Amino acid sequence: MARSQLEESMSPITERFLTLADVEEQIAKFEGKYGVSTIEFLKNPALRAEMYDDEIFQWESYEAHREELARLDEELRGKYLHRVRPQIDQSLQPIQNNNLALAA
Amino acid sequence: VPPLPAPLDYSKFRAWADKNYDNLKIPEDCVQLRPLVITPVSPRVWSLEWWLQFGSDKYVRVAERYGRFPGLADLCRRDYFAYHYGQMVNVTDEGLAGFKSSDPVDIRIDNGCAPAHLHFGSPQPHHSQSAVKGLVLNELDMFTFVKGIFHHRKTQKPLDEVFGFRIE
Repeated sequence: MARSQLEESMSPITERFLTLADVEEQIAKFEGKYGVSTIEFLKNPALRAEMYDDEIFQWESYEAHREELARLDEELRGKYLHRVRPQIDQSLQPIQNNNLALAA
Repeated sequence: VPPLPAPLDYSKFRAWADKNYDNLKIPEDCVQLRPLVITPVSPRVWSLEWWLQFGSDKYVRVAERYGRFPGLADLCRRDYFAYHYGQMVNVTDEGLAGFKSSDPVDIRIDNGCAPAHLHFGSPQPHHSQSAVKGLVLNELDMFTFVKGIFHHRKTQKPLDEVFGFRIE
């Protein structure tokens, strides 16, 4: 069935994009609601038994997403520093030479 | 439903999901409480949720999370999945069916607290793969599950026949 024929009863798949700040905000909401850290939540079966399955899934997913976003952030920072480092070194070189000249 | 492509990444998964979603025929008594929403984080990490309600009493909940394969950062796998069909007994603040593990269940296949297992007709026991013949639990995908529920409701065929398993 073509998507257009389904519009009355279905919505197309939607995507939701979250930043690291969004994810950390959602994790903080869960931590505030249940009064425990994410680490405690992950290690506490008694707490999990009292929660709705969907909340457990969402909290675990936000934590997995946070780890991935932090990893990507770190990768990006590493690549950036790798590219700018030679430029910084080059820009420092004349200053060092000037300082040596001045010292002489 | 064609199998998920392998090796998997988000673009392949999304193309597979779009194709299957577009081919889905939603029954008249079914409302999507929450349409299929995917949260893509990277080509290797994403999650999704999907809620369907039938009439006023039964619902399907689909939840999946994909992540990097441990030790093989460029490969990913389905880390978590839960396909649930059963009676609505709780409603969350969001107006969705709130499921707790002690709630009644018609069928639920998940890997939430153990390797992929089956709940059939009641929350307990968990039927591990070794007790379930005719269906590879870990290979079931969300569209096959949802279509199976549609078929069961339309034909009244028992769920074990629809999904082709027996418990030993």
